[in-house]
Amino acid sequence: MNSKEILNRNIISLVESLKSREIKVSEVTEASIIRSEEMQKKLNCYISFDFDKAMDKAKSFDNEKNKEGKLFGIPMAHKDMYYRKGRVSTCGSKIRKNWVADKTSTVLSRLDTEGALDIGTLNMAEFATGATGHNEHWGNCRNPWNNEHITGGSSSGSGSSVGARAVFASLGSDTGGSVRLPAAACGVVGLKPTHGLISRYGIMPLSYSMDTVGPLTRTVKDNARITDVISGYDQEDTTTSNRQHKNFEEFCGKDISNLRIGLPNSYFFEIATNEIKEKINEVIKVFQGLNVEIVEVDLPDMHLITNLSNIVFPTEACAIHSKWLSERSDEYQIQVRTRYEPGLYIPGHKYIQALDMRPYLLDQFIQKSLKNVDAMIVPGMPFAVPRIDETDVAAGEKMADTIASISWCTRPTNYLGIPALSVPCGFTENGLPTAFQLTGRPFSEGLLYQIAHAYQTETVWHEKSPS
Amino acid sequence: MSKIKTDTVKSITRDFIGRDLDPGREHQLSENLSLLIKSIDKATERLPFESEPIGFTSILEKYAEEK
Repeated sequence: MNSKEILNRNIISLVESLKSREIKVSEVTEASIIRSEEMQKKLNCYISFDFDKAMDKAKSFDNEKNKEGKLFGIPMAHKDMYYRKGRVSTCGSKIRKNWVADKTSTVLSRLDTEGALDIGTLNMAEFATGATGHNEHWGNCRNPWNNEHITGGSSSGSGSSVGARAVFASLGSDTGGSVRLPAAACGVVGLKPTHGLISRYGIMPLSYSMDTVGPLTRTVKDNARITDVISGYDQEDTTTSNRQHKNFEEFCGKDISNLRIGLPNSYFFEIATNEIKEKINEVIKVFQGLNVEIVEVDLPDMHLITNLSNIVFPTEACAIHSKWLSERSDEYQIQVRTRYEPGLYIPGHKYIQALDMRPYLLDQFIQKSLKNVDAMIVPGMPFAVPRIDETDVAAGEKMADTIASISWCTRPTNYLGIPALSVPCGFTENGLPTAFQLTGRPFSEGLLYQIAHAYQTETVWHEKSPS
Repeated sequence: MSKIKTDTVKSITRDFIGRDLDPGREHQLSENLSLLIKSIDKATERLPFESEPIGFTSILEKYAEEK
C-alpha cells in the first residue's frame, strides 16, 4: 500500500489494519508526516510539528503485543488551543507565542488513551476569533482545494489539514461556527456538539456560554468514533452533562426511512445564493430517495437570537481578555480587538438578560421548529467559498457584514446550545466544496450521525480528495 | 428606553483601556449597541420575573432527544 492509499483510508478501517499488523503504525505516521511537510509549504496549516515524539510513539506501538484503542495508531493534529502539559499553545496569537501549558486538556488525554497520535499543532484564527482563516501573526491558512480561497475559521488548520489528507482527524472549537465553517469550506465533516456533551477543560476559552469542542474528519462514521472517545462527563468541567452518552458509531448504518427532516421556511435561506439553494435541493432529493419525509418548518425570531449572541460573545470575550486589551492591545490583530471591544460597554444587566432569554428561546425553537421532526437541514455557508483577498477586510467597513454573512447559518446554534453536523454535499461552480448542516434536539448527535451516514452511503462527495 | 451614548463609550474607553477610539468608531459602537439593547428590552418584556440563566441547562436536559 503506497502512502497515498494509506492517507485516503478512513479511520475505522485503518485501525483494523493496524491492529491486525497488515500495516505498521510507523508507516502510517511517516506518510502523514511527509504529507504534512509538503502541505505546510502550500497551505500553512500547522503552527508547530511534534513529528519526532509522534514517530517514537508509533515505533513503540509497533512493538506492543496488545494493540488496543479505538484510535490505535491514527495520526492527528489539533487546533493550537488544546493544552498539552509542557508544550507551547499559541492560540494563534502573538501574546501567547511562547506560553507553555501547565495541564493537558481532557479531550487530548482521552484521545491519547485510545491510541491516537498527536503530530503537531494547527493554525487557527487569533484566539479563535475569525470566520475566514486569516491570521497576521502566523500567516493565512489556505484551502486545500484552491489555495487562493479561504479555509473558513476559526479552526482553519483543522479544516485544511484534514481536507488535504495530511492527518486523519483534528479537533476544532466552535463558538459561532468555527468547526463547521472550515469543515464546509474544506470538504470534510465537522460536529458542533450539544453544550455540555464534551469537556472544555484545558482549552483556551473564548465565550464560556457558547464554546464547544468538535472533531473534523473525512467521514461521518469516523467523526462519530471520535465523539464517542471524547464525550462524557468530566469532573474538571462542571458544565459537562452527567447523562450517559450513547455509542454514536452504532447509529451509523441504522435505517432512516420514515424519519422526518425539517426544512426551515425563513432566515437560513435569506441570504443563500441560488447555487446553494440548488445544492440543498439535491440533498433533499437524496433523503427523499431514502424515504425520508421533508417537512417545512417555522422558526422563532432568529434575528433576535443572533442579536443576543452578539451581546453574549463580546461581553464574555472582553471579560477574558480585559487585562491584555488594556495592557497589550497593540499585540492583537485589529479585527480581533475590534470584535471584543463592544463588550466593554454592554451593561452587566443586559448581558444577564441576554442569558436569561436563552432557555426561553431554546424552548421556543424546539416547540416551534423541531417538535414534529427528527432533525432540520440548513446550509453550511450561504454562498460559495470566497477568495482570501475578497474577505481581507481587517476592521474596515465591510468587517461586520463579512463575518455576519459567512456565519449566518452557524451562529444561532451556539446560542441555542443544540448540536449541528456539517456534511459535504458537492462543489460550487468555483470548484470549492459546499456543505449542509443537520441540527436537532439537545444530545441528538447519534440521530444526526445516523442521518448523515445514510447520506454518505448514497453519495461520493466525502471520497473526493484535492489534487 | 435605555441606550449607550457616544459619551459613555468615550468615557469607558478612557477609564478601562486608557486611550481613545477613533471618533467615528465611538459613534458606530453607540449606534450598534443601542440597537442590540433595544432588541433585548423588547424581548425581555415577556420573560417571567423569576428567570435566571441556569434554566438553560434544565431545558437542554428536558428536551434531550425526545420528540
